[in-house]
Formats: sequence, structure tokens, C-alpha cells
Amino acid sequence: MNYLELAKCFEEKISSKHYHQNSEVLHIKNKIESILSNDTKQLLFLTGQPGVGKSAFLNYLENNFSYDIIKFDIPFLEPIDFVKILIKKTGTEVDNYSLEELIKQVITLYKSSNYVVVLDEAQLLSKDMIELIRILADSKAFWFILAMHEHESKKILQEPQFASRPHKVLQLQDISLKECKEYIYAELTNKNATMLADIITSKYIKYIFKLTHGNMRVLKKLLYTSFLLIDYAQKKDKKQYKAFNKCMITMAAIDGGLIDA
Amino acid sequence: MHNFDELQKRCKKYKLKKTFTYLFLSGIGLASLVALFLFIQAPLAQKRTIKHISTIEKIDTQKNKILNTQKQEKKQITKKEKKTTHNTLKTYSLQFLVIKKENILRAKKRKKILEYIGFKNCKLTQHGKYIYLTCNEVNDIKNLSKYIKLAKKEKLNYFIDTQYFNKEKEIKKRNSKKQNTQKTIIKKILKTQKATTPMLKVQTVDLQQLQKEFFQTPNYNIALLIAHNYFNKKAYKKAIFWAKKANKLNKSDADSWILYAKSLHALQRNKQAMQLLHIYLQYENSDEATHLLQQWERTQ
Repeated sequence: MNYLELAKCFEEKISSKHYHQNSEVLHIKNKIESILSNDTKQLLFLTGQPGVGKSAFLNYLENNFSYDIIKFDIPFLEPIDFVKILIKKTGTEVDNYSLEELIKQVITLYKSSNYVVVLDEAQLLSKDMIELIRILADSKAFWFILAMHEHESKKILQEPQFASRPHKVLQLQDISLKECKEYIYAELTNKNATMLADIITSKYIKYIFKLTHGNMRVLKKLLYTSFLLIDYAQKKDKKQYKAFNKCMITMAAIDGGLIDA
Repeated sequence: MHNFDELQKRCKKYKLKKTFTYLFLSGIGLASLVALFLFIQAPLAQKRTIKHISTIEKIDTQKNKILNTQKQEKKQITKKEKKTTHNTLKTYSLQFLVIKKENILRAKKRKKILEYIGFKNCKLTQHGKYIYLTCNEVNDIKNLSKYIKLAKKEKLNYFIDTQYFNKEKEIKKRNSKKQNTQKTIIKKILKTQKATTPMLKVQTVDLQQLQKEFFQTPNYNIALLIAHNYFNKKAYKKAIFWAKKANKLNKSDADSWILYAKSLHALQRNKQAMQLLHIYLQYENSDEATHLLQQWERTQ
């Protein structure tokens, strides 16, 4: 069995092809769709613990959504650049106007459309950007989805410019033990390692879940490191470390800082 | 790449740490369980020993009583024997069991077993509370030697029972039978005394400690035990005091009433003693109490 290949399938990937749909993700997706079809244009906040899969979910949404999405991965934007990008997306040329003029232009361009502007890592947005988003949201020209860490989202949502406006908060939760099992099984069977999938899911899944607490990023990292360590042990002919076992998970957990040893 | 060897070491260290903490915690858990068990068991064991001591004490007093009566009757018998040597006949038998009449089934079983082994003419006779199992009644003790050997071979506990039989006076026969049964009781008591070591405990009972224990946790058996001790030491007033205490805790048990009455009797307050037993016998049945009362009434 090629453990290096197996390690790669648990590598942190951005592409939506490798995205594992669990019940939580489908629930959030359906909720967004129902809000977009039934409510007036407003701000949506997607919150969750770091590593829960917010960015991956947004990437998945970009390619598998019935609405048009304009996604911004880099939050370090100047308001003028942000508006210019939005104008350019419509194929219209940007005139050298002031920010105020550009805002007016972008609102008129998108007023009749149903675009969803998605901003990842929104907790890093500057005050000017937050102000601009507020203005654009008030114009009812866009839907906004702002993905941010749960901890920071509490502070941002308490600010008067958001608290007083209509908005919805969608919280992405960590995966359950069952989902964790399903995810590992799915990933390994994709790589034709069903035997190993059976061993892991029946014997070690609880231990893995206990260490990762259902956090997708931590889970992926743990399995990635475990398989890399097994690959290394096989190459260096280290007995007792050549196969997947609890010791390898413990070693990977120590390496990832999940266990203090 | 990850430092594999370093991780390997840290993993081993972690495992050791985990097993140690697991062992430590399970050790603590076990120790606490044992402590809890002992904590629960201690008062129960104390109760049991006190009960045991009190029963032994009972046997002890019974033994003393029997010894005294035996001495008296021995004197009477020797006097009578001197007079009636020509008219009396002796019979010998092997006595295997003395048992309370409630356990008659056990005695019957034993009888069957003995007959199966080869003993003859086995019979059960009842005197008072007890049933006696005797076999091979003969006039000459030499005829018993064969069966003594058999008993020894089968490792059976036996006692050679001698009975005085007078053709003319059957009353004498009864008296002699009584004596023999008393003898067996004494022998039994002596046997149990030898076998049970807690008998030593009776002699080492610290009255002060018992009194302390009683005041901490009032208990009928402790009070009765203290009362018995004072009675044996002829401190009858103190015996009355403790018998009263015991009686307050358990009014239905005859022992405290009897001891109270005996102490009063010992202090020459005979009327009070008899009145006390009369009162008790109005509500409860006790052979010992009735026997004692009859005895006192006869002597008056």
C-alpha cells in the first residue's frame, strides 16, 4: 500500500472536487438557498471555528450553486479596488471617477441582478471596507456572505452598523463521529484502500475523533501526518511502525501538538 | 520531514505516563473501595463479635450452673448410691449427639447413618430442650469395646453414657439420667470451649471499654454482656443497672429479664424477682424464666 499517496488525499486542498459533503454542509447550503429565494437582500454571516471548513465550503458553493457568486479570498482590499473589481465583473469599463461615483455606478449595474458577493476571512476587513459593504448592502444591489471566525464574528456583529441592520448568522459546526467515520472511509475507498478504511473506521475512529474533536482541518492534518510517518517507517524499515496503528496516530498527534508529551 | 525518532521517544514516554496515571488512579480507586468496604464492615463485625461473646457468655453461665447442680446432685447420688448399691444396675451406651429439639431432623439423619455404619439399637431420647442420640446400650462396658473401635475407626465423636437403673424406684432412674445428660452437656460445652478460641475474649472483656462503646452506640448485646460480667463478679446492683439498660433496648428478649431477676434474687429481694418474672411471663414465653420461677417458688 502506498501510504504517500494516501497522505496526499488528506492534504489541505482548495479545489471543490475533493470537498466532502456532510449533513452539516448540506444543511447550511439549503438554508442559504432558502434565504436567497425568500428574503430581501441582506448580509449573511457564515461563522465557525478555525479549520471547520468555511473556506472549503465557500469554494464548493462557488462551483455548485444556482446563484452567481463573486468571491473574494483576499480580504486586504482597498474600498476603491473592491468596487472596481465588481464593475469589471460586469464587463463594463471603469471610468476614473471618485469612490462615491464608482459606488453609484456599481449599484446601478447590479441593482437588477441577483449576485452574491462572498468575502472569506472577513474578520480581517478594514473599517473602510466594512463601511463600504454596509453602504452596498443598504442599496439592496447585492447579497453578501461574510465568512469569519466565530470568536471575531461576535465582536463584529455587536457593532451598531450590523446589529441594527437585517442580517442572518449561519454557524458551521464541527463534524460528528459518524461523519468523521464516513469522511475517512470515503477518502480511503476513493484510493482503493478499503481494507485499511475498514481497520481505521472500526478500531481507531474514536481515538482520532477524541483527538481532533471533529475539526476537519485537524483531522486531515492528523491523518496526513500519520500516513507520512508510516511511509517514512516503511522506507527506513522500522518494525512495528510499518502499518497503521494507534501508536502512529499518537505520534502524529504529538507532532501536531494535539498531545502534550 | 518529521523527526521520526524523536516522535517515537515522545510516544513511548506518553504511553508510559498514561499507563502510570491509569495504574495510579486505579490503585487509588481500589484503595478507596477497600477503605469503604472496611468502613462498612467494621461496625457489622463488631456487632457479630459482641453477639458471639454474648452467646459464649451464655454458655459459660449455663456451664457454671450445670456444674453447681451437678456437684449438688453428685453428693445426693453418692449418698443414695451408698444406700441403694444392691438395688441399682448400670447401663452403658455410646452417645453421639446432643442437639436442640428444633433440629430433630438432623438427629434422625445421623441415626440412620450410624445404623448404616453398624451401630445397633440407636435411639433418640428427649430431655428438656435437648435430644440425645445413643446407640448400643449394654450392661457391661466390655461389650462396648467393639463399637468404640468402630467409632474410632469412623472418626466419630462419642461419649460413653452411663445410666443408673433401679428396678424398685423409677425416680432414681430419672435422676441418674438427668445427671448423665448434664454430663454430656458439660462435655459438649468443654469441647466447644476447646474448639472456639473466642472464649479467651470473654475473659479479656474490658468493661470500661464496653461501657464506652455502649455510650457511643447503645446496643442491647453490649449492655447485656456488661450486666453478665457484673453479675459474675457479684456486683449485683451494677448488674441490675445494666440489665435495665439492655431491657430498655429490647423488651422481648428473656435474657435481660432473667438477669435482672437473678440479680434481685441474689440481693435477697426474692419477691421482687419473682414478680418481675411473672410480669415477663404474662407477655412472653420462656422456658428458662418459668423454670427459674418454679425453682424459686419451690424453695420458698
